[in-house]
Amino acid sequence: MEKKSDPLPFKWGKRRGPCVENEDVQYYESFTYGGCEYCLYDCVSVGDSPRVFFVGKIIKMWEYTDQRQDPRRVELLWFFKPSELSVYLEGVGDVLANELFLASGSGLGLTNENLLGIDITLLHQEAISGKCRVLCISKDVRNPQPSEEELKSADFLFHRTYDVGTSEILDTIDDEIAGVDVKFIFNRRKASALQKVATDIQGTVDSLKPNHPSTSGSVMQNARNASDLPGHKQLARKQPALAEERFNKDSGRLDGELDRLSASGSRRNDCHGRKDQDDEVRKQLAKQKQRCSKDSHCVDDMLQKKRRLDGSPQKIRRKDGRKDIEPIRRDEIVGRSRLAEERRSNEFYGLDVMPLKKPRLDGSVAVSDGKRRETQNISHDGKKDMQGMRRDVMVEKSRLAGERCSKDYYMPQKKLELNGSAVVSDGRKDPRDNVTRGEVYSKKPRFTDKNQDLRIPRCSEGKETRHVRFAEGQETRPATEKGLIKKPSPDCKISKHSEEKSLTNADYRRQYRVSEVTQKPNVSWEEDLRDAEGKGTLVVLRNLDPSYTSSEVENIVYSALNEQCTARMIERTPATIPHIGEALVIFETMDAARRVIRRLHEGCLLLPNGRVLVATSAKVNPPAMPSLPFPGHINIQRRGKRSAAVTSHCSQGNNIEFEMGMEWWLHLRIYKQIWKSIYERQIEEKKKLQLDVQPKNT
Amino acid sequence: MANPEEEEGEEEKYESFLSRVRRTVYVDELTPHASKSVVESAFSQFGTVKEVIFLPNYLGPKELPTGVLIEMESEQKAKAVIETVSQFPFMVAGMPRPVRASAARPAMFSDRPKKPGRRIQFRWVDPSDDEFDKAQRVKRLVRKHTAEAAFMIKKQLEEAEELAKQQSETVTTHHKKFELIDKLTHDGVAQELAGRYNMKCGPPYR
Repeated sequence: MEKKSDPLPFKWGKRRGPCVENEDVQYYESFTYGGCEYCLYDCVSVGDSPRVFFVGKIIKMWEYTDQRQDPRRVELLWFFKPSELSVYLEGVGDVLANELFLASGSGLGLTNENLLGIDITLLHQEAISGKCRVLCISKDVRNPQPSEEELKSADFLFHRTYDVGTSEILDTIDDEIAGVDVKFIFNRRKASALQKVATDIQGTVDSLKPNHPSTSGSVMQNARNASDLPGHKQLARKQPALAEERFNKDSGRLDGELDRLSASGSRRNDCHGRKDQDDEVRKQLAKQKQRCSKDSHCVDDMLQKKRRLDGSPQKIRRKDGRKDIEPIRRDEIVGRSRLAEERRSNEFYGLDVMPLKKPRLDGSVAVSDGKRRETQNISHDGKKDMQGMRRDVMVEKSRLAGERCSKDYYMPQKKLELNGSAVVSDGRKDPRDNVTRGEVYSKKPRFTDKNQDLRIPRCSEGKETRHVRFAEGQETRPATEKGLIKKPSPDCKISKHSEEKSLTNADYRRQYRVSEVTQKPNVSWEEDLRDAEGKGTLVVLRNLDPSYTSSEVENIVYSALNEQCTARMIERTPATIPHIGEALVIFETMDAARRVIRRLHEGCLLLPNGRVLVATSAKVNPPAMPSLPFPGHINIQRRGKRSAAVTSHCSQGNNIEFEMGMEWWLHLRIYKQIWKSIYERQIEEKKKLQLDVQPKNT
Repeated sequence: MANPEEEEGEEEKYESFLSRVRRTVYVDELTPHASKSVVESAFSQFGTVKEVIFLPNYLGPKELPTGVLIEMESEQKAKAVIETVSQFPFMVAGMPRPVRASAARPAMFSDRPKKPGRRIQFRWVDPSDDEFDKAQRVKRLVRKHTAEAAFMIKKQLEEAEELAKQQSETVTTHHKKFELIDKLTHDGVAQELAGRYNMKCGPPYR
């Protein structure tokens, strides 16, 4: 049944048996809305703003046949976000960044009946905005355990429930929740879904099969045209490629396969040389799928000219329940590559998986997450090559579980994303939603700005002065070498008295000299900064005393880490944390920067007041002029007259402008309080970890 | 140990720096579109402006409003600025979002001289040390705090945008209403209607 006046097309899927209680009710098993198919027991996100969203599991869907308004309904079993349960989570260990809690028990907040098919612009908070993947990682025997890739591609995870009646967090799951059998709560085996998807892919590839070897070249040439045919071609090609790799591992024909791939790949030179990443990605996929049972690629197998497996596709398919991952993963990868090309983010980051334009596949909602995630990844990736490999892995998996990734490259992410729920909420945006696209594109300028910055040839003056500075430093070094004993050997421990004294002597002498040198104005600092960022020699040092000066920081780096650098303390304003001092430090070489970061990461450099330094590779904002209008400044176009030029003035109390100004004050006041309490808490937390520069033990 | 002359020199320098700090006002919530001359002329209403320094935003979110250090002639002038701006919403280069002024602090000056007589000591705490665990925890805490602050700032900026949107809508509606009424009186329609209903209508709005 289709609704006529719907802004987004809605269509019910399979019917269920008639309802016994109420003859006006017709239950269904699935529906398609806005091009996306939602089945029973799928998880959806409700609400479209990044702050207000909820995740629910569809446990019932029906339509009233009695001519009432909004006859279509769903019942959603809610998942709770950790932020909603913060009170009850105190004392409960280890909440993952994207963990949710399933509602259980009985009472308010367990389930909700929602209107279905309503215009998302009308009821923001209550409209279903998209599907999401919630994976159950409970170790319960009844739960099919998810694979690594599933884990990383899932939007959310859950293994605990929150009983709404008793307000408890429970680890065990009963036989049923909200009248739903527990097998629908755990990960589904979804054999039927696989069949469907498999046949889809099979169908398309089969139809293209005759053309496979000869026209693949020309097809690749057309890869840039956004047509289905190359898309599916690529899809098909990739599947066999991957399948081959996997299967060939034992037979040792892997190299042969890869050669073939690279040979055919070289024909695709129009794709900006992303072939390398392609291969790399495929290799990685091959490695990662080691554990996967061979049968999962039965579909691909059929397309192969060369037979590798003995088993027939039919037979193998039934074995493993996790096969649906693979076909859907193709979608992800393909979809992501389309986005990659849209964004045209080549060069640096090698994150492009496949240079393909392909219309979005149905059901590949994960694409939107990938898109979001990638944007965020790209937008603050300050590191390059050595992280290159790992970046590819990250691209493959659209989501990282909080604890799982190493701190090193998790940190840069954390800077902007932070809380699991904040990140996730961004990812929740419906791909149909134009706002999302807008945001993706708006991130582009920033990205390309960075590129441009780095291409600015370094002004020779800047270079000279910097070298002069260091040259002077070098000259003075021999003089102080005598007095300097504090080599940062990892085993050397405490500052004994004599060491202290000589340190401070040298320190002092150096300080004196260095302070002379750094009297120069900061004009070349900006350039140095941009250069350094480009070369990867820029580091952020945190947790200094906010009252330190730039030269003191330079000295600290020199005496503790034995590296020359230029530093600049970042000013403490109401917009920065008052109790954590930060400094931007430029080293001469990328190696030096990396060494320092590693050293400060492995060991702990303790300064007075229990301050242990934290160093990360820095990413700074580009100096671009702001293009967006400043929020809060309103310009009214007067009919017939030009908009008045605004002079700076104090507003008096007799007009609307004053009142609006007051609203802003209110906003600032509120946040002042918020910040105050945050800082107080943070300082408390710090105090609890008392560490003294003078060692306690004798 | 320390050269007494040098120490004196340091102290002097620091003192003059401090007096400079006292003369300076820190203004933020400023639009990034404001140029130095705009700011200067805006604040010269309060007295002569000796110096305007823009604080760069390296690590914060891009949409963060700009912060500016404005050095006035004397401490009293600075105080006057702060008082006025705190009492009345002072709008610079656009309305109605007012700027915020507060007394400047040494940590706001990136080129500050160091505090005289300060000696920094340090110690490496390595895995073999029994306080290593604590030290690692400190680092983690720092990261956590930084992240928290970043998140909070983002929230603040988001809410600011919402507020701005709201206000803009209100203004547009008001303006529309105003225009509507204005148009009526302008076209004389209001007068006519008034005549028909035997009511008085005020003088044409001009």
